[in-house]
Amino acid sequence: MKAYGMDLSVNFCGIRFEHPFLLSAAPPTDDLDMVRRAFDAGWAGAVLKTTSVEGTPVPLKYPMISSTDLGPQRVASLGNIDLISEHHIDVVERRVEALKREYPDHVVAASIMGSRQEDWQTLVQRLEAAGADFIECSFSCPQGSMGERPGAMLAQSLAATERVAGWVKAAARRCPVVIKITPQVTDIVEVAQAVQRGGADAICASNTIPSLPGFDVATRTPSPGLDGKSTYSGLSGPAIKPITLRTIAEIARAVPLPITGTGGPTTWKDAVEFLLVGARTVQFATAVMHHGFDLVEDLVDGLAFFMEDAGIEHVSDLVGAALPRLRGHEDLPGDLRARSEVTEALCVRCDLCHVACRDGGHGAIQVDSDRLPRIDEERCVGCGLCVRVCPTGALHLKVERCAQPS
Amino acid sequence: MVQQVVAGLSCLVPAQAVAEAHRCLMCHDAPCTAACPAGVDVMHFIRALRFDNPRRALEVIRRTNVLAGICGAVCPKERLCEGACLRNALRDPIRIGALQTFAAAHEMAHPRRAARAGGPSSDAPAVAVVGAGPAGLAATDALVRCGARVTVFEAREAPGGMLAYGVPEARMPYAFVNAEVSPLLARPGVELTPGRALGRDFSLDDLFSRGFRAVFLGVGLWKAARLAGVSEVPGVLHALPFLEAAARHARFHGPPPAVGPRCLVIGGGSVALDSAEVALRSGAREVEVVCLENTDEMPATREDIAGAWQRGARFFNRRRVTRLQRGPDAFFLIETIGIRWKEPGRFVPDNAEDLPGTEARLVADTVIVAIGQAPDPDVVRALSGLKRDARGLVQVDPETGATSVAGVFAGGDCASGCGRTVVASVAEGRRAGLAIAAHLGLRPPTGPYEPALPRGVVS
Ligand SMILES: Cc1cc2nc3c(=O)[nH]c(=O)nc-3n(C[C@H](O)[C@H](O)[C@H](O)COP(=O)(O)OP(=O)(O)OC[C@H]3O[C@@H](n4cnc5c(N)ncnc54)[C@H](O)[C@@H]3O)c2cc1C
Ligand SMILES: Cc1cc2nc3c(=O)[nH]c(=O)nc-3n(C[C@H](O)[C@H](O)[C@H](O)COP(=O)(O)O)c2cc1C
Ligand code: SF4
Repeated sequence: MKAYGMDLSVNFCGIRFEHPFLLSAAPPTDDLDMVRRAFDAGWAGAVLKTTSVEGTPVPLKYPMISSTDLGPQRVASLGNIDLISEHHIDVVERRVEALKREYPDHVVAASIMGSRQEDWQTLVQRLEAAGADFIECSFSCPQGSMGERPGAMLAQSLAATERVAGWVKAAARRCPVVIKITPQVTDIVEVAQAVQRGGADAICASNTIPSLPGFDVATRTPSPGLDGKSTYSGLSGPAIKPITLRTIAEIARAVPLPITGTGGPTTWKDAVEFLLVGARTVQFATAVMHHGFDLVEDLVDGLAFFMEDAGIEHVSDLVGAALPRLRGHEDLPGDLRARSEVTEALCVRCDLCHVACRDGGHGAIQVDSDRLPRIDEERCVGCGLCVRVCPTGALHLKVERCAQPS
Repeated sequence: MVQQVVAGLSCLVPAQAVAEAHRCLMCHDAPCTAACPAGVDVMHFIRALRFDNPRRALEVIRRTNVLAGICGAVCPKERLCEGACLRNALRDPIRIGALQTFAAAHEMAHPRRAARAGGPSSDAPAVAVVGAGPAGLAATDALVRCGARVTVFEAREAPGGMLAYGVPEARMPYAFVNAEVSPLLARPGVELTPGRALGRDFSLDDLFSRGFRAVFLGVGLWKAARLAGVSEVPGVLHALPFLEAAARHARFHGPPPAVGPRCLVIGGGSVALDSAEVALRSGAREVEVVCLENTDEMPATREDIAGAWQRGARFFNRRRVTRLQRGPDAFFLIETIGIRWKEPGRFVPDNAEDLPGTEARLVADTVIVAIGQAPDPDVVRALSGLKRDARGLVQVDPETGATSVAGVFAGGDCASGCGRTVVASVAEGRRAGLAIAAHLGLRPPTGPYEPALPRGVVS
């Protein structure tokens, strides 16, 4: 669709997306009618929820969802102890066929998980034959990969990642192969390199994060409680976005494979951040589970208006555009002198900046008789904490370059 | 610039707007939308604000209400969207109107760089819109969105209708009206011809012979309704001419309206309260409002009544004027009597019964009658070929705005009567605009984000 006359299309592994927003493998894509409604609402594509070969047991346990709030904001993060889809390849094959027939211009991808080489390869071949546009391999379910020890994810082993990526790639004739990795590793770059050595076409970064969302302290029950017991949840939603941005950036700086981003986006601005650190498309699960399929309108309009205002013609111009600005701490400029400044007209005199600097900074903000913050130029080191706690945007940093290099 | 423009409006600052948008529950199938005469998609516009997208918020509102910012400020929200907000159950409804005005003000401060692409083709059918009030402007918007060319004929020198010449400056700064209305009139395919009045300068037939394929009438009601026994007395003022003089003084360099120190306003609607406030601002020291209704029965909103009270107006409720004469020193002597409602809950003059023994006399230097508006006699003559009801209102098909004459449509106050709202006129104008487009074989804009057409408008 042309939103406000802007072309938002992107190319990912040779596949054209109308715009960069698709649904990730999760409950919103585990039902044929839901995906139809999602496409009607305007999503450019969907990765159907992870499937496996017939006969694979999928012992789902309920309740499976938990969450954390942040003040009045519900679902700051979402936790789940879900497994892959209960629907096996025979069902998912038919869904792929139906969707490609009804929505030839939408991108339909299938997500797979197997244990034996034979299973992985059958899954690819059958879904490719059904018409899938690409195959995503889940190497990162927090409840563990099939065939590994309980809770261990394939993508936590470099050898397994390379080997299984190789199996899948060897079986695929037409479809690009995407490996969905986990951020829960010591060195994400090594994992990405293993994916590359395995011959896969792209990386999906970076899934939920193993977590313990919390407890009912009165009953000591962890969340989600199943008869008072629980296990570790995969954490998704707004809270994990900063971690996802970091993993995508690290991978994009080290490995030339295209990236599809997943983990925490809600708004068009979040999505633009994903693009800036190197994702070509952005996948959504939690935000859609919270707000519904028509969230895509906010995303498309927001991206179109942003590009119009910034004079950007192609989405691809944004992809990785911020990477040159990321570097090691040792390469950051050491000759900046920053000082906090107050815009009195915006200050409501809550003096939160004073408290933060007094107890978490350098005691550089005093309060005058009018309750106005006064910055002590000598004591202020320019850390920026006060700017972060100010509720009205009344503080900013004035940054200068020192005359003498340090 | 926008700071000045919205100075008279209670416009939220960005931090407040974001906080307010976060309070919205984003209800499914939200009742606020059902309660809006224009069907503004409240939940989606607020969600756009919450998700850092004020421009989309405005686009969402303008899909069904082209006067987004104005309505956010002047709508009787407590009876419409905000009254329906489910957060009333928690006693703190969302300030929907303020958020709507915020979205419009944000766009004024950050105008779009690129102009809206295209415009109607040169062979697109031409439509005449008569009257540049809310109804005419909404019809114009709907028509250009469907690809028609529109010429707007406006009797007065500036667009806006009652928003320009009725609603006082203190309540709706004209700079804000202008900032919202002029981009619409500047769109490709739209032409405004001010100072041209139907009946005085041209007839309906003239429009058709000049090649217009259809006509929308949004001429409003500009003749003051008269109160028998009062209106005839020399020197008695009527609300509309009085407010128009005040508006011309505040906005278009007209002379100030003349008001004496003691002023009496007759009527209980928002026009009466506006007259009272303008009188106070124009030099009256005491302003008294006499009306049939109690404060909770008055057509004016609670907010407006409280505002008028705060600024010094005093009320004589459940009372009517029985006689008015000129006193010796050019002031007026007014006789009044208390009333009760014969049948409870029906607050109309013929249901009022006098209560003997409650007579009271008043004196005033200025008397303003504010009991409603009626069709302008010039317009009535010009529209003699159209079916009209007993009050002189143009009869229309409520679904499409079609009149009894093929190709002529109408909406807003001239078809629906006085005592109504800007937003209702916008809704009627838009509906008629879409119906005209359909009548001319134009296809309404389609796409995943276009709202459903109103009932009765077939494409
Ligand atoms: C004092 C006052 C206060 C109000 N306050 C509110 C409020 O707070 N909130 C609210 O929702 N509503 C309010 N209203 C009601 C609201 O303003 C009207 O319902 C609304 O403006 C009607 O829109 P319209 O387009 O039908 O007519 P109008 O606004 O009356 O516009 C008609 C236009 O047609 C032009 N015109 C008239 N005759 C001719 C002709 N012969 N040829 C060409 N052009 C012609 C007029 O100059 C005018 O520009 C108020 C009304 C008044 C009078
Ligand atoms: C309930 C639930 C089930 C999920 N199931 C799968 C799955 O079967 N396969 C998979 O690859 N990812 C699965 N995910 C992960 C999502 O696809 C997505 O990568 C993750 O939730 C992070 O993105 P988000 O913050 O947009 O939700 C699931 C997520 C949730 C919340
Ligand atoms: S979200 Fe739906 S399926 Fe889940 S518990 Fe609630 S009602 Fe049941």
